[in-house]
Amino acid sequence: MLYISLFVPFLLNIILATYIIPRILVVSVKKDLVIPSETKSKGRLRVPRLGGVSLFPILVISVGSTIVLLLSFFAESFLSMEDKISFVQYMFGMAGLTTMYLLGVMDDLLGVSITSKLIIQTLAASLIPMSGLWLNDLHGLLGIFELPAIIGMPLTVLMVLYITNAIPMLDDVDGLASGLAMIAFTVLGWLAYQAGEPLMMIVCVAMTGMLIPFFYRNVMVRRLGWRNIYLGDTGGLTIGYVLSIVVIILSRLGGTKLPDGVIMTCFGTLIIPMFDVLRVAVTRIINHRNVFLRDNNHIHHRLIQGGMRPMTVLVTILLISAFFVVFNIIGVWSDWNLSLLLMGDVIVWVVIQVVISYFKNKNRELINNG
Amino acid sequence: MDEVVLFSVYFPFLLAALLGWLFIPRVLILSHRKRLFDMPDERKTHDAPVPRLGGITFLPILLICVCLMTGIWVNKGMTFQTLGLDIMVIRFVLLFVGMMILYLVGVVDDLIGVSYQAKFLVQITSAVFFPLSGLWIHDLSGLFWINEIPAWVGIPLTVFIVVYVTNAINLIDGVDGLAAGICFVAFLTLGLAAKGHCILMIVAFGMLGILLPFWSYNVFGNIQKGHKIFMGDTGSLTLGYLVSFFLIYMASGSGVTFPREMLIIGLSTMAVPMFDIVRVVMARIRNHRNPFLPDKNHIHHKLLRTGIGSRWVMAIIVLVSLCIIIVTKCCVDLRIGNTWIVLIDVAIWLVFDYTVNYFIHHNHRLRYE
Repeated sequence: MLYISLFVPFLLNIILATYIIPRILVVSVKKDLVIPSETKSKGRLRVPRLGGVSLFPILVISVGSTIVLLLSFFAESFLSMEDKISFVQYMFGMAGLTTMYLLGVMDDLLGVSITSKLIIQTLAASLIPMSGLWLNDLHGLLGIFELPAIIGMPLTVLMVLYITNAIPMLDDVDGLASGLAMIAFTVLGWLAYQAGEPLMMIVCVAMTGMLIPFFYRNVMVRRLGWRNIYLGDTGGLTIGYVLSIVVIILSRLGGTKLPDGVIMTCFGTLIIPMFDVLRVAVTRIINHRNVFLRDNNHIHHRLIQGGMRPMTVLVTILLISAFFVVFNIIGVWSDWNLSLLLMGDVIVWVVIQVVISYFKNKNRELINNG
Repeated sequence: MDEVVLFSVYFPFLLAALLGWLFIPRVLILSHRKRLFDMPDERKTHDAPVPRLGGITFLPILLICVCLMTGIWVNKGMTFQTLGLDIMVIRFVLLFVGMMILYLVGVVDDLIGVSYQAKFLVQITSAVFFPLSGLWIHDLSGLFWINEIPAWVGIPLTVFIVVYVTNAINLIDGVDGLAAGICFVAFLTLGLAAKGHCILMIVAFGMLGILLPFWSYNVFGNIQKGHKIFMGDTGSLTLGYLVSFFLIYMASGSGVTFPREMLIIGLSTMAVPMFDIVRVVMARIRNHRNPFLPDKNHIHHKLLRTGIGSRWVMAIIVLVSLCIIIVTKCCVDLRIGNTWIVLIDVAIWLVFDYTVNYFIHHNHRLRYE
């Protein structure tokens, strides 16, 4: 059973994504759906941003067929009638994911105003706490333990919105969004295996599997002379929504099926996008600029301004992310105080930012001096 | 009002209709701005470019609607009243997997075109999902005096019917609102027949809710203002797959959870397109042409040749379909044997066809004199 839920979605998704990506490219080139972005300038070829539209259908096909395989051939079912609550959660999550998918497709092709985007995202996000899935316990993070529903539910909506909007920001460097999401899904899949949550594990494995062809194409595009493809807003929103559902489900298991305080490990997989979006937003607010307009102040932009090549930026950020993951896992498994762990994360983050700023300024002086 | 009716009929219908009203205008804007048109060719009966992406709204809206409603349903502690959750999950997950595959192929077909061999292959693959989830026709319930049939006959028959119905809807989609109208009548019949099987009712009435705004845009949309939309292959493939799911689901439960005549009532909802395909294919074979290549011999083309407007064509065919369903239902209630019911349906169809032929000749005579 474990092997089926590991290999079937993984291999199926690699095959499906490898098969579908060239078709998306053909369609978007033939129908002229390649959208040049304002902040992106990489070579003369205009890059289609519709890669993300394949994620949701592939997820439905692979997770659906794996569930059916498991239910038909293994009597030990993971969706029994007593397990009504998780059934409701999956159903509501599916509805929200479809909403996000539609929103993303519309945004990629037409552009959606920021107000209606936020309204639809809030509606989709509020489906998660409505199905009974909200952060009910912070396990001592910042000294907070049990949360009442009236605080926990808005907090969950806020978290979903935060994660969902943080992922599309990473789409500016080849392979960054897919790479970070792959690291996060691998770790979360391992956590789901530890917790004995087969469906969550299938979803994580499926997402990792379908992102591999994107990552490979994005990274190898220069060397093999392929056409590049971006995940776009559809991909970012889909990945973000699935990530936030998995993170919240696993966080709630802390103290029962997983070690106490696993919430830090779950959110630790997303530290880079979350901290970075926070920093960027604060910078924009301080400088009286629109918080939602894109600019060149994200961590990967700063690294590029520091004189790195895009590939080195990718490797650096993935390494930092892996470091945070390992750090948080060690911290949680050896029962550190969660607030101290968070402090450690913040300190490491600040040190990294200082180093980046130093190199950025040095590089600017170099350019200015000749 | 009864809570069960409220949650399985009205809420799915209203939710899907609302989402359809919100989403279809966006698809129109999108296709006009990105120039995703159906270029007029000689087989189609329209002259201005019309987007044919209406079908891409069906599956996502249905998915949202069904997921939300079943979620609320289980949350409120209501049971599905039929089988265990496992079996239902297997069947409905496979339904959506199959629909998603057809949806992907349909979108590609609407945008850049897919060969009919590839489409057939995908249709057969998706059709095989029904027997895999344990849904196949195991009882013809007296049709042609056959009752129980073994699996090796029933499973290929099921796959054949699914592919047949899917293609029938694909081919009837030539006049504004025709395929949507026939499917509307079909889902209404099937939804009412599924009384007591709440998840089926949710799906049926959710689909009705999407078809209503789509049908309005399809029939009453102004071409010049760019408000007209076609369902395209995406729409007809997903609709046909869903209709055949209902047929097979009800037929496989006939005699146990459904009345034994369910197969014949289900098939009667699709009688017009199915009979029409038989006639067209026979005509093509008689004239030694490839039966898979399109021509202008379908029932809606014939009706157009009698000289009436395309809205009347749609209305007449939908009315004939409704008439066949009602006659079938009455005959089932009168306990006439299933074989005779099929013969009566064929007779109605033949009378209709010969009337159309008569009016075509009439029209031609008028034009030449």
